[in-house]
Amino acid sequence: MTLNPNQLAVIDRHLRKENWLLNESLIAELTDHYVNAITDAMAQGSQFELALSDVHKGFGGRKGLLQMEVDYGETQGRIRRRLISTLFKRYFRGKRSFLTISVFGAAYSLISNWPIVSPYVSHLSFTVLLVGLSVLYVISIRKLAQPQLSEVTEGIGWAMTACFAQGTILLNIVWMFARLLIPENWLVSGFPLLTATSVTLVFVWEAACFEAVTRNHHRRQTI
Amino acid sequence: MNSSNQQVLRGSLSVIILKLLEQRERMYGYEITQKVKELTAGEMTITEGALYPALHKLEAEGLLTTEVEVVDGRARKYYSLTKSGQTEAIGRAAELMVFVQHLHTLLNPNALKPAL
Repeated sequence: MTLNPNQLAVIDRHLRKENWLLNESLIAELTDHYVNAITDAMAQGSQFELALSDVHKGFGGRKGLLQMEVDYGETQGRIRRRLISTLFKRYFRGKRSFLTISVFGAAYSLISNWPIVSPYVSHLSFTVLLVGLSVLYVISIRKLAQPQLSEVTEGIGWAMTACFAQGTILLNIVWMFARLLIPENWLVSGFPLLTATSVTLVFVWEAACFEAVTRNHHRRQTI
Repeated sequence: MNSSNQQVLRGSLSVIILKLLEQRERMYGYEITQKVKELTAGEMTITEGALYPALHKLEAEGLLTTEVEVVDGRARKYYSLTKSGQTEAIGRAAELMVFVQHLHTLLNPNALKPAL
């Protein structure tokens, strides 16, 4: 026995509208549980509405579901932080340390030739900012038009794209504010090692964040 | 199932989840509830309100890892043990067994009588 589209829509409305859940990942997991439990109950002769009510009670009603969503947000945050931290540390060990050293070398080389490369870096920075904002704009419009889309159901790397766009915009904004507040020539000529190290650490951190999103995405497979 | 059984079950829920996942490569939430019901011949049931927070907590502790598959057009989240989860499953199950033995000794009046 399988539930019909109308019954699936009732479950979706039950979770989102009647119980005020927002977290897409949790809603997806609970939807699967509701569908399985209701299907089994109906196979044993129960009515759809009664089965739905029983599952809802099992979760502790709306209060239980909302508390679960709060706790879920916290645990997911802990998982993300641990993953990013682990990935970040890996860039300083083994083969990956060559990448970190290369980034540091490139940053130091740019800083050493700052008067020559400065205009190019400014142009590149502005271009990347514009592209990043455009990508985020497209993603936001798409999400507004189709709110049911999620990382789970889409099967393509929109989350990765969003993460990459957000990362580049953040880096650019930080960079622009830093240029407003700190005389760059003083920073670059006075503290080249410190500046190159800071740039490298930010770059590696962004790479770790991006890899964390990518890994999360690759875990999702479609049958 | 009476309320005291329910309390004991809630207290040992993480061990039950770890042991079930030790025997099966991976399971999803509803499957775990059904497996517990099946193994205890319907005497014990895990409520959804207890199961999912326990699964999420174990995942946050790094004992479980998850993968999502799309089955019948909807996402299904499978849980499996990490390496540290496998170690923890053995350790926690042993601790619980010792606790149950102590409990059995305390609840069995004959066991408390000094041997002659």
